[in-house]
Amino acid sequence: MINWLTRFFPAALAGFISWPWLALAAPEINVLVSEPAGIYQETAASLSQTLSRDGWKITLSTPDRHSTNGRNLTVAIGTKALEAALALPGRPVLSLLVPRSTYERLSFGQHQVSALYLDQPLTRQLQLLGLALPGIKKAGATLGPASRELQAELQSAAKASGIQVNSTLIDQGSDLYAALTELAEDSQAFLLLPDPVVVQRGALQNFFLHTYRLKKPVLAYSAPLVKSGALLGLYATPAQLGGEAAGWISESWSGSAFHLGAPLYPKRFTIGINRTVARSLEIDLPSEEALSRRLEAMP
Amino acid sequence: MLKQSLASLACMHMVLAWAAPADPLSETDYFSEQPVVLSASRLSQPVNRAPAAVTVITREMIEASGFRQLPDLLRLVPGFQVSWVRGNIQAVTYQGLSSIYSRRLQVMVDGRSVYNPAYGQVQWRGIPLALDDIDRIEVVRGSNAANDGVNAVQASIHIYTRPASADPGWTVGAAIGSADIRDGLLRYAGGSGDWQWRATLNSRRDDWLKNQRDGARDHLFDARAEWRPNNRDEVTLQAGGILGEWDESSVGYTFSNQQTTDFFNGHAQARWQRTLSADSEWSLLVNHTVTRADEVFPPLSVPPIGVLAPDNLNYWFSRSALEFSWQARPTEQLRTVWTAEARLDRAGSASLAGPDTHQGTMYRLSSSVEWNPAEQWVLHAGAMLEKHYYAGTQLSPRLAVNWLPVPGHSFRLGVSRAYRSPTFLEQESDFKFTSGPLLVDQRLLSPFKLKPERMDSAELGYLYHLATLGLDLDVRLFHNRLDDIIDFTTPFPVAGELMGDGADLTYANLYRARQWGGEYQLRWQPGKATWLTLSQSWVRTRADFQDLEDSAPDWNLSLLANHDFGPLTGSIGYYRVGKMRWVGSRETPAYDRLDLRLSHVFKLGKTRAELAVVAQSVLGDYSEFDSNRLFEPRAYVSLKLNL
Repeated sequence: MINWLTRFFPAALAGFISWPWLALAAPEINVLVSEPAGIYQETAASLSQTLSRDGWKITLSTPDRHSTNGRNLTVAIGTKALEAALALPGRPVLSLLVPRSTYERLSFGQHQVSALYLDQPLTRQLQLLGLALPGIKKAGATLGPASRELQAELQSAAKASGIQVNSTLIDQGSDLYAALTELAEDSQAFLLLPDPVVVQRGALQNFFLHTYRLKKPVLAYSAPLVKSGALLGLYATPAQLGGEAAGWISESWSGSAFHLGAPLYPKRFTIGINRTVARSLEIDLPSEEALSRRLEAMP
Repeated sequence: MLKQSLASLACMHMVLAWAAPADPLSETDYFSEQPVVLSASRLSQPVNRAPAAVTVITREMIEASGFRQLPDLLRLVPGFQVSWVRGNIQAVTYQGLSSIYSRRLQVMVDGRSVYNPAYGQVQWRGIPLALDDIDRIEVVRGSNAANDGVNAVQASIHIYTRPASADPGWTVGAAIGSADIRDGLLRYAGGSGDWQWRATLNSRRDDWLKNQRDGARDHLFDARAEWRPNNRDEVTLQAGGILGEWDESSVGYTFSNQQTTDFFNGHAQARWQRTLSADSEWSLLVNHTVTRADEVFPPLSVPPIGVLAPDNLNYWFSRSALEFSWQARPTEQLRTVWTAEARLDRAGSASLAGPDTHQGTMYRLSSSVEWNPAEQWVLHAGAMLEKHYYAGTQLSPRLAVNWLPVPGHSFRLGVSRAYRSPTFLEQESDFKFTSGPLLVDQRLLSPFKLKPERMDSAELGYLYHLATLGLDLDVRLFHNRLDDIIDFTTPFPVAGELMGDGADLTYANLYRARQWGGEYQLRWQPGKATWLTLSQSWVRTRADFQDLEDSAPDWNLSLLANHDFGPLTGSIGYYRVGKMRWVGSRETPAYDRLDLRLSHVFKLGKTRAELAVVAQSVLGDYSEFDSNRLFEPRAYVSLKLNL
């Protein structure tokens, strides 16, 4: 499917842009992608596949060739796309593939803007930790300048999930070792949260080597991090986000206008497991599918 | 005006501070490729799935033990015997069968062999490594020749140093105590961009045995840098050197009470590792080591012959190695490791082995396969094929199977063969006193072409793990058969000697031995604050030489317990060793040794400080090697600051 899309996407994009097709009464949606490739293309393809089935009019554009004239809705896919969409007056705008903190910073003071966040809710992350590691009571997290605002949210997620989270603020990668050592004393696992201070090549190496040495499993927020050394990953794929956004857009069309409502975390998710790490830590995990079913069933 | 300027400066500062927030996150933080950090070579194999018995000496055990010198840490491993013949000769063996030169142990530091090809032992004190930089020591109990090649006969010891990122900033440490203990440590670790590095200076001084002239001072330097230019490559560069100023000979020949040894060891190593996926990677390792010992004594004079030569026991050796290793997992059930290596060993000692430089090359190819046909079974097959300059072409295989019938319990059955090559000194020795053209006394000679020693082993292992109680038990029963054991025979006829009746000592393949034994190690950690490790071993040896039969104590016990009381952490080490004999030496009487350590960690501003008091052998003197070589009670205080 992806191969097919990759092959035909450029042609489809040209077609969408040049040919105002399908029924005139249907709403017009402009899909603005940061780049016409990769994850943006995947999200857009999944989105337009669902919406164009309903006969909606969809055009695709990139930040350098973008206008909002006459469109009922702009779907901005990616941070660059969101910045471009917000720079023009056309509204409403739905943001996709942008982390919550970045979305909140960019959309501050703006109206008729909403988002389907890229991140997974912290409560769900902790619930997964509880399902994968039965009996876990405490987890640790290192927060950097970009993630320190998550501290309050971590505490409410801890309440909701029943897993206490100890967090330490660090300013630079070199503080990581001491912070992890201290946190490990009272944590059974680590939550890796997005922050450039922790997740950059040198620091990430230290993070995984040290947590492994401390024999603490890690739950991370992306597929590449599972490959890198996290035991578990919880994330939504571009296709999942595109599909979910399409459903949301359909539901919010009143017949004459879009009423998007408040930003939301995605409902859909994917669980990734690093079996090599699980084997070495001697952790017996159920299949991804079994964990997903149980996580979906949680409140 | 000035006030205004200051106010505007302050404002500007605030604006700058506000305007330089953290880099905002974007979707690339979620989707961009990351390096595979926990690849197969960085993950340790669960012990219940390993092909051999493994003891891991962790960082916390190293600290709690209070030991200052590397070989003492091996007292924590079941079946190990450690004796200090004097401050610069440490005898270490696993289940006996050894002279003070422990030639059947392979010792590697970060993949670099520190085995001395000239004498065959490991000069533990001469390894340029601060105890503080060790991350862990993995000891394979039993032969590991299928992985580590010749000389990994009785056991194989892998020392891993800490990554450069582990202790960032400055570390300053000092210790002072009785028995002339004076230690100093200075370390800096830092990083920038794709680089991380660490450099350590360490000096140690002590006077090991009571009433013996065996003071020793070491000054060492050790550095490590890691470079990660992209997501899949890692280059590790290491270099180090040590200067030892030691009283007495380090090779066991004493001719004068003014004899001294100046010891130097230096090494450099580079490793390039490419990680293709979590299960597939290769690495290229190149290293070079040089060792030199200058052992000088005042010239001996024998009237009426005159002054004798030599007046020293100087020796040197070097080793260069190039190794390529490749790991893969062709299927989910199958894991393979291939290694190819070439080594060049060189050694020389005009006094002990004639004027020539002796050298030899060694080529080896090894493969190990781990097959996991069902959840309860792991099968291991490994072999090392070597072409060794003295041992010839030899194959060292190992077969092992792990059975994990129910969670928490596992059994292991293994058989293996290993070889120990003759050393340069055993094969080339020619130590004689001369006076001009006259041969006065032939001391050592190697007239025979020696065969390698061979050991065949079988073992049965049982491992028990109970997570709820924090309990781990590892039991090993073993049988070893050794053939062609190399030792001295005496005397050997030599023509034209003015004194003596032939060579005092000659090396030959002489003995055979059989061993049966059992041992266990127990680790119990009921909570965060308390842990203990306990091990015991029993062994019986039958041989055609009494010294070999007496070479292992009937039983050994080792206990290390640690408890965190809050402001203070206390630990107790208790070591009980039955009477034994290092082959060719006098009997080492049975002994008990009790060590105590108390430490307090506190903060001085941002500095983490640790103050510790260690008392060793508090029960009184004990015989470290024979009844003349006593280890007397001693104590030291240490302070370490992490700035």
